[in-house]
Amino acid sequence: MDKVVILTEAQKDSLINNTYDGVQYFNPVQDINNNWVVSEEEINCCSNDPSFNWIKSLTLTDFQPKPLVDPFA
Amino acid sequence: MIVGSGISPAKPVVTTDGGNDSDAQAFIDRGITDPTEQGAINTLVVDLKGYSLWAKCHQILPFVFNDATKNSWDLSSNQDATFSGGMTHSGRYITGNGTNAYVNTNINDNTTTSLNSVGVSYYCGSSGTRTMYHGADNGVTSTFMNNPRNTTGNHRFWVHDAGPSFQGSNASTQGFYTFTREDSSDKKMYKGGSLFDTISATSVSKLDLDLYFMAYNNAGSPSLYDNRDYNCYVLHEGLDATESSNLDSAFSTFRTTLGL
Repeated sequence: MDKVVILTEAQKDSLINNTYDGVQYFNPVQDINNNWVVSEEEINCCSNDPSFNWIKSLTLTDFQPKPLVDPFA
Repeated sequence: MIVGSGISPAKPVVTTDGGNDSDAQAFIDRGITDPTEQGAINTLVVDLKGYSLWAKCHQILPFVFNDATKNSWDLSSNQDATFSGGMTHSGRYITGNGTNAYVNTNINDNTTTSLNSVGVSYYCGSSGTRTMYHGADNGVTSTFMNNPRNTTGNHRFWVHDAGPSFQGSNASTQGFYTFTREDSSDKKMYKGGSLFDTISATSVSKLDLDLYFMAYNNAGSPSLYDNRDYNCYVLHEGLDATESSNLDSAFSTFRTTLGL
């Protein structure tokens, strides 16, 4: 199962429009409980800005996705 | 479903002066240092030009490098892409995490493509199915999206049209796909260079949205992320059967050169 960290609203806002490795952008999404999360890959590759090191101290947890529903089905 | 066009690709003209093609060299000079990768890029450009496909391409993204920067580069020098979320760059494929990873091609459909001459091609290296779409949907009138194989084992695609909501069987996911439109009345799907389906669907409009890959641009927001492997993406003009077959051949050689 994919791992993620859960973010506060303020933490989510601080990541938006910023890169985690100088190239790739953080992309917070909401899980089934509407918690904001970012992925384990973003955490592991976070090396661009030391001001984002706090994200590595957050606890990884299993991602609980919203059901994938095809809106065109 | 129609399978097999029986069309033999034309033989590309290959330069023999020992030097790289100038467009290939410009891409290599951005930082491609591996000799195998350099050779593969040069052969791909030479083949595309030999098939008269180079000028028809709006964007060519070879996702075969082991870092995000190189994988974002547009071989056609038009517009580099942007990665968001947890994408894995393994060296010969990019792989989505199915959670939040996608590619923004940074290509606005409305300003780049033509209503009745447009297409997209890519190679999927995975066998999996997924509820997702590549492309964009404006939620109002028109859609430019596709999925090679969804969780019911069907392919679906729109090319500047609004329907019908067609689904056709696709027995396996892995392969090189082209979804294209050459006129206002029909859209076509090719797999492995052969015609796979022709669907009557009148074109409606282009979309004033960036085209996404491994998710779709849902009127401005990424939706339905993919978790499969891909090693190229091409946005191009509408291609006929011969051109689709030739594009498949060029990228088949590209993959072979890279040991895939």
